[in-house]
Amino acid sequence: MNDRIRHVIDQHAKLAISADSLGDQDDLYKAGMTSHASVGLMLGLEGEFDVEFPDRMLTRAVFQSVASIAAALSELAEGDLAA
Amino acid sequence: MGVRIGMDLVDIGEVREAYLTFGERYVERIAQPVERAWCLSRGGIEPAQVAMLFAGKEAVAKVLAPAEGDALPFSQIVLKAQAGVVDVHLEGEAAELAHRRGVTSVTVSVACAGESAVATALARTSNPTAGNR
Repeated sequence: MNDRIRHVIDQHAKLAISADSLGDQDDLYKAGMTSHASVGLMLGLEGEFDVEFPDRMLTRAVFQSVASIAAALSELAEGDLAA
Repeated sequence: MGVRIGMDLVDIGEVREAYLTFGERYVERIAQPVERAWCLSRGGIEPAQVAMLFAGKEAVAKVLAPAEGDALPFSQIVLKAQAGVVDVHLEGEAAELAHRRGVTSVTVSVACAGESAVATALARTSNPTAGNR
């Protein structure tokens, strides 16, 4: 999953560096992601993983790192399975 | 009484690119129907208008100063432009956050030129020490 997340980051987060050079816990905002780019990242993740982030997940913390995004996607997937 | 100031700058080219990539889904996550109607009344949903909306909402978000775990959907920050004045209406978590921060009112000013849109938000707070962090 983390490789797919990194691919979406490369496409939409508008970082000056490749996501491959970031650790799972590295802060994407500190790496240069703007608030507008985070919206693009969110929409890109929704398309890649066929999910929709609910309002309660629209926090800075969710989109802060590869690890936090993976955790949010796992939570959404678990919700789909439970539904 | 205290005040907080928030400011944001948006690259219109990035908005144009996002609109081309994600289409209406992008606009729907940023703009409420009343805001889209405002865009349409000014000739259509153009990147410069969406960029001003985004900058205005981000400026408001900055005066609300959410913690990393605070949800702050842009759909809950509603900008209503009338006769050159932009009123700010906060809903849901945004209204709750404003209450927690002691924010009693928010006004915002937006503008664009060339490839940039800019916005400044001014919040009045009931707490004189609740300035920008």
